[in-house]
Amino acid sequence: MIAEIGLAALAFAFAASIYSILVSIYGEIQQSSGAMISGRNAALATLPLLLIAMLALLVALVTEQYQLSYVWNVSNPQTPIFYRITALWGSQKGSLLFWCFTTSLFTFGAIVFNWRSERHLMPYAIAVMMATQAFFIGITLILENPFARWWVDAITGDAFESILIPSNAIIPDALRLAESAKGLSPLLRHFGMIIHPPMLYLGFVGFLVPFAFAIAALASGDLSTNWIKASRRWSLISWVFLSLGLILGGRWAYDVLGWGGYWGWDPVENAAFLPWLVGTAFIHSVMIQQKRGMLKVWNMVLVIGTFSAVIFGTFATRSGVISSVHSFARSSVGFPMLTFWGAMTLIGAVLTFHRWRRGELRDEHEFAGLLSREMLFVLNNIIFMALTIAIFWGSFGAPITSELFFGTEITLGKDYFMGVTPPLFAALYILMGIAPLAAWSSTSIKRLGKALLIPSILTVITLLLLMVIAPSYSDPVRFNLAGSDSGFFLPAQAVAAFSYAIILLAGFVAIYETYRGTAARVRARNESWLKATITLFGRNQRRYGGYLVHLGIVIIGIGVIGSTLFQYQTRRTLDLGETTTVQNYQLRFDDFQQGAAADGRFINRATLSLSQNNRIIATIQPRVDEYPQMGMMIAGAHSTAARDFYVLLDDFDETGNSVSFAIYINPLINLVWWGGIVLVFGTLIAAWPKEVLPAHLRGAKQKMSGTNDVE
Amino acid sequence: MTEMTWEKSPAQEKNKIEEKLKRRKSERLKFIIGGLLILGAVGYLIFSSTLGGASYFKMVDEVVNNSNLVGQSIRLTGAVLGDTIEYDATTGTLSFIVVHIPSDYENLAETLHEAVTDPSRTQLVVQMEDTTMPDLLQHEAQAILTGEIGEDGIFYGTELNLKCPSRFEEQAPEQLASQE
Repeated sequence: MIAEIGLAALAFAFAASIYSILVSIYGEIQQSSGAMISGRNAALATLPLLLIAMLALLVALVTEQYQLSYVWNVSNPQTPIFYRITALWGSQKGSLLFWCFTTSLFTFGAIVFNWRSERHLMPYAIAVMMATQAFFIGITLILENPFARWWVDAITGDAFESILIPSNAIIPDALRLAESAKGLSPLLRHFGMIIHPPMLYLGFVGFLVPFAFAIAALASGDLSTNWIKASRRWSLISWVFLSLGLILGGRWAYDVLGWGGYWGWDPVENAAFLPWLVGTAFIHSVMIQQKRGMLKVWNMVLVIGTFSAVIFGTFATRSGVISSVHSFARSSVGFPMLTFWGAMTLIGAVLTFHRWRRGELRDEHEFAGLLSREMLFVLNNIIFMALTIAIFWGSFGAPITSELFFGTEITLGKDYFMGVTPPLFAALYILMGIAPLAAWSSTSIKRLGKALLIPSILTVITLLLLMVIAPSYSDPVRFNLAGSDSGFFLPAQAVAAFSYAIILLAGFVAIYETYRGTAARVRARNESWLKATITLFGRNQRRYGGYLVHLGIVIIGIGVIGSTLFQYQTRRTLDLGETTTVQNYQLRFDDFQQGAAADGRFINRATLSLSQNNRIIATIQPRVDEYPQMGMMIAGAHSTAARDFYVLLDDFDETGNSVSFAIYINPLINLVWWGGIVLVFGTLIAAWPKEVLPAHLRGAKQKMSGTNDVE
Repeated sequence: MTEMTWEKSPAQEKNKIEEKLKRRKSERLKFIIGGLLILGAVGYLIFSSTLGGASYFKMVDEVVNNSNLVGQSIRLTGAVLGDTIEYDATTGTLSFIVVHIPSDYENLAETLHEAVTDPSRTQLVVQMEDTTMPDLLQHEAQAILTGEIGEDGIFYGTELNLKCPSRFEEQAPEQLASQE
C-alpha cells in the first residue's frame, strides 16, 4: 500500500512539473495571467506531492517493509532506527528521491518569495526550475525507482523486481526477506556522512534558482539587475550549504577512511568542488554588476557555469562511470544525465550569445585602471575559472582526451593537483587581501600601500611569533617543473612562511577593515563597541558578513597549510602496558577489548593513554569495527587547537597483547573545521533578510533595494 | 574673442578626443598584454603539472614483462588474490598479488570473480611501504594502484584504492527464490 502511495505521488509530481513548464511558457507568450498563475500553482503543488513520496519511503524504511527492494538493500532488522531514517539518502534511488524533494523545496521558496516582486521573470524561471525537476523526477520514476518491490514468480519460483504489481506473482515470504536484507553500508554510519550528502544536495540544487532567473532574464530580455536581486540570497544560501557539504565530507574522510587526511583529489570530490569554485566567482562578480553595471557577460557565463558544474558533478557521482570511492554503483542514469547537462549548458550559452550579439549585455562603464576594484574582480573571476579548468582537466579532461586521441588513458594523480592548485590559491588569497581595499575606477599604488600598512605590520608580527613556536620537523616540499625529474626543493618552513604571509594578510585586512568601521562609529556617535559592531554588521550585512566569510577562509587556509606541510607520521607496535615516545608525547598501550555490538558489528578497541611531561593528558581509543561486509578503522584522536594526535588501530594478533598503531600528528587541522563555522556564520549575516532585522539596523531606505550595500 | 574660441575649440576638441582614444588604446593594450600573460602563466602551470603528474592507465597484461614501462609512473587495475595478502605492521610493508582483468566489462563483480578463479590469468606482485592495512583489501576486491614497476618485476605502489562491488551492488536475493 505504502509503495502505491509513494508511486502515485511521484507520478503526479512528474505530471504537475511537465504541466507547469508548458502552461508557464504559454502564459508568458500569450501574456495570459490565468495561465501563468495555473503554471505557478502546479509548480507549488510538487512540494507536497514529493513530500508525500518521500514520507512514504521513510515510513517503509521505519516499518521495515523489506518487500521494497530499496528498504531491503539499505537496512536490515539490526539497523537502529536512526540509520533507518538516514538510509533515505543512503543509496542511489532514495537519494534521487531526496534530491527531487530538496529541489522542490528551493523552487517552492523561490516562487513564493519572488512571485510578486519579479512577476515578469517568473514564468520562464518556473519553466526552467520545473524542467530540471521534471528531469530528476523522471529519472527517479523510470530508471531508479525506490518503490520497486520484490516478487516471486508463481511458476518458476524466481525472485524479481517490479514497480507495478505483476500478474502471476506472489509476495515473497516476509521472514526470508528480513533475513536476507543487506543493511546500510558501514562507511555511511558516521555523523559526517549522515549530514554531508543532504548539505551537498541543498548546495547543488540551490544553484538552480539563480540559474533559472538568469535564463528567465535572457529569455524575456529583462537584463536589468532584477534577476540578480531575485536570486542573490538563494545563491548565498546554496553556497553555504555547498561549503558545509564539502567540509563535512572532509571530516568524514578524516574520521572514517583512515589515512589521516581529509582531501584526496579524488575525481568525485573534485566534481563537487567545481560548482563551489564557479559559484564563489559568481557571488563576487554579481556585486560589480549591481554596483557598476559591469561584467554582465561574465555573470551570465558564471551562473550558467555553476549550474552546469552542478549537473556535471551529479553525473560524475551518480553515473558510476568514474571510478572513485564515492560513486554509486554503475547505473543507467549516466547517459540521460549527460544529455541533460549538455542541453542545459547549451541553452544557456546560446541565449547569452544571442543577447550579447544584440549588444544587450554591454557594460555601462569602461574599465579605468588596472588597479581598480572592478579590474581586481575580473582577475578574481579569471583565477577562479583557471582553478576550475585546471581541476576539471586533471579529473576528467586528461583521462577522456588521452583515451579519445591516443587510445591510452592518462590519469593525473595527487602530484598534478598539488602542483597546479597552490599558485592559483595563493593568487586568490592575495586578491582577498587587496581587492577589498581598492577603490572603484582606479587606485594608486600609494593609496593601496597606505591601506595595507597596518595589516602588513600585523602579518609580520604574527609570522615572527609563529617562527618562534613552529615545529622544527618536516620534509622539504618538492616543486615539479615541466616533467617529474626536474623539480626543485624548498624547505617546508619557507613555503609555509610565504603561504602564511599572504593568508594572514587577507585575514588582517578583513579584521582591520571591520575594526576601522566600528571605531568610526564609536567616535562619531559615541556608541559602545558592542553596539557599534552590531550596527555595523546590520547596516552593511554584505560587506561585513563578507569579511567574516573571508576570515573563515583564512582560518581554513591556515589549517590546510599546517596540516599539509607539517604532518608527522610514524608507526609503533606495542605490547600491553608498553610506553613509547612520539616527539614530545608518551603513549602507553593500556587495554585491548573485543566484543559484539547490538547492531551486528564486532568491535576491536584499544585504549591508550597519552601523556606529556609525565602528566596524562588524554585517553585515546582507536578501533576497528568489523561488519559482515568489511572492517572499518575508526581513528582515535586527542584534538587541540594546535594539533591532533591521531591514532589508527592498524593490526593486532588474536590475543590482543601486541598491537600495531599508525600515528599521525596533524598540526592546525582543527582550524579547517572551525574556519567552516566562521564561514557559515558570515554567510548567514550576509544573506539574512533585511526585513526581519530590527528597524534601527536596516539602514536607509535606499539601501533596502539591495543595490547599494556594496561599498 | 568669440572668433578665437570658435576657431580654437574644434582643434582642442579633436586633440582631446585623440588623446582620449590614444589613452584608451594604450589601456586596452595593457589589458590585452596582462590577459595574455595570465593566460600564458596558467597554461604553463597546467601543462607542466600535467607532465609532472601524468601516469598511464594500464592493465596487468600490458605491464608484466614489459621492460619499456620500468620506472614510469603507472596507474593499474586488477583483482586481488586474498590468500596472497601479507602485511607487516611494524614496518608498514604490504604485499599482495593482483590478477589481470579486462578493461571493458559489463558487470564488475562477475569480472572480478572470473579473474580470481582463473589460474591462467597473468599475475603481478604488488608491494607498498609505510602504509596501513586498507579496510577494503580482501579477496576479489578491485585494486586501483598508482606507482611504478621495478626492474625486479614487482609493482611498487604509492597509492591504493579499492572497490568491492559484490558487497553493495543490488542482486536478486537467492534466498527468496526457492519458496516452496
